[in-house]
Amino acid sequence: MTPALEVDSLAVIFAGEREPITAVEDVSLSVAKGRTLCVVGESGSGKSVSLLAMMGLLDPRRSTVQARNLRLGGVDLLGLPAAQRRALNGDRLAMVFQDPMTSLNPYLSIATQLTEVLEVHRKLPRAAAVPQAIAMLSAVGISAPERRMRAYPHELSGGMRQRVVLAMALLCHPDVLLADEPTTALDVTIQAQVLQLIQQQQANTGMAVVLVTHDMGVVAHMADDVAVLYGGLVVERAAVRDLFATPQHPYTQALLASIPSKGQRNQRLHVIAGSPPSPLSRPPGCVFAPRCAFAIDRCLTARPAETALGDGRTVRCIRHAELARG
Amino acid sequence: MAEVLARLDDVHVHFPVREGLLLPREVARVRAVDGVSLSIHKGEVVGLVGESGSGKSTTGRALLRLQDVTAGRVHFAGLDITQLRRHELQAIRRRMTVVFQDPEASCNPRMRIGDAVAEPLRVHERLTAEQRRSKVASLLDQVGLDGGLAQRWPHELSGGQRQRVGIARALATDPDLIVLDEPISALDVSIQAQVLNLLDDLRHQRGLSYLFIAHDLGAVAHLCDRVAVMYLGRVVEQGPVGDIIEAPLHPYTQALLRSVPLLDPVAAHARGLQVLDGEIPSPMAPPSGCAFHPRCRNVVANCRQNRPELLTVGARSVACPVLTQTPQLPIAS
Repeated sequence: MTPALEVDSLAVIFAGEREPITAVEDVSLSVAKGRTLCVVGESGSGKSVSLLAMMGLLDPRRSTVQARNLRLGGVDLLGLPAAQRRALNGDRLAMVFQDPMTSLNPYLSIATQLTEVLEVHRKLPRAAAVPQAIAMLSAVGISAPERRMRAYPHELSGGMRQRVVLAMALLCHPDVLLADEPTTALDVTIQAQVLQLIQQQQANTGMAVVLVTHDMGVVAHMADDVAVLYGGLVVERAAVRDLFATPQHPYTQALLASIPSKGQRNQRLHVIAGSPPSPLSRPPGCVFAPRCAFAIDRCLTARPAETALGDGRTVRCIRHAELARG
Repeated sequence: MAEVLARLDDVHVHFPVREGLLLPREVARVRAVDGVSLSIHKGEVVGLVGESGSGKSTTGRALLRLQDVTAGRVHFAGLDITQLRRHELQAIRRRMTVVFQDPEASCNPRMRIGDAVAEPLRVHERLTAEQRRSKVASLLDQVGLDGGLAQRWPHELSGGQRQRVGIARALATDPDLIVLDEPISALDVSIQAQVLNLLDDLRHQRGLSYLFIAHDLGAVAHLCDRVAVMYLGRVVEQGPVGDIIEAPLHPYTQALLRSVPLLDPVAAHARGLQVLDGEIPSPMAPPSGCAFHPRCRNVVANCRQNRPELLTVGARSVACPVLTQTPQLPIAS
């Protein structure tokens, strides 16, 4: 089956002040219809930039996006003229950001912002768009949607704004929803509400979801598959259960071990020493080697390639075979 | 049990909402903190959890006297500090310090790291420049930073390093109590564990007490001895962290804990997401009776009328009449 969204060997290079900055070095991802791919990574890992590149939202004057392949369904996005590609955004491919105010215009009413989507993509007159917008607000759990249509963003709570943004993204029933930390700024209670909405919409329409998060609990609940990003590279890809049960990359292992859970009190937390590398100064060998407990000399000199382990599982570590044997 | 170090006694913090240009009059009141009593013992770590808008940060600020209280008393080290004036607070400030969420906001971008850490020493202690330098070096060392960082600027440091600087600064005057207001929320996951371990070590080495304000219940379970759960300006449940995390009694605590995602995909899939409907109401117009009743599953008629008081149930206290009237629960008074 054709994946709903697929990118192969994505690289994003920004024009820096002195020299080019490679934010994303080698990222390959794919997500099938009705499935959820979670992309996990820390700041500087390139997860947000990868999403922006897939949406075509990076400024071509300041950045270079390269990929062997970038396809939405059967459509080759890289070969598409800019105007046609833009027409797909918000229609077949939609995105939700961490801060809802990124996508909301403070000067416009909710009604204007929602109906605009249908006016542009569906060529609907406003009068015809209003009932659809109201129905979508109600579908994302906003009470009294007719009244909320007249509201302005500042009159809504953070959780409610994120629902409005989600409603906006879902209005055209996109094939793929890209969500960049959509619940990070929200309370756990509101996070659960928003995640459940995404699940429900996915069940109704069969859309594919790419969810960027740093919360492994969110991953456990939402993901079918997981890609772990570190230093601009996918270091491990696996089905969610495999990733939690038998993490292969030392970074994934350490990350899972470092999370405090309510089950383990008064235990010392496992710690990954040091901090994630800045895109300005990535180490020459394996990007994780300076923080890795298992690094040997060879790790410091050459970038490991992505090794396929079967069932779509990959790992980027030269020692994974010997480490897996213990 | 160790002696009480800090105590809030029925503390209220209300913010008046005024309208009118020439003669502004109060048209409403934001009841940010509405009758909180809380004590922190020497060497104890007390967690304060709740959704945004529950009043947990304002409670921390009231304890620090960064925020004047509308009613109630604030005690620290056996002293009533509720009405102390600015200069009288000077002696208290060195014994009670604070670390904020955003390490960026708490480092002056025009001050070298060493000067930032030395600032409380300049204010509170009479030291020679040489003594100050060596104290700064020792403080940086205690929080796991290289002494050479003293000459660097905040923008040259990572978020985790800056948060360690914030902690070093809070330690500078050898305090008894540190209010930690969401100290790890802005950090990367792999850095959160480092900072949590550091806070845990410092606490044991120095016999420190913390008021740990957080919304990450995993971190709370890890660091705290006792925890208080706030909802709309009031404590709804408090007690030993094990009891509250393993067997929460108040329907809000239960819902809050259920909302936390599980860290196991098999269990997560089996249980699904547990959703508490609705949002925290506005503290300008709190619901009648129990503030949680519009979102509560166990609501009975009485919940809409009478505001429940905190009642002692074993080692903890709970403000829920439905619960405390259930006969099978061991109720002490």
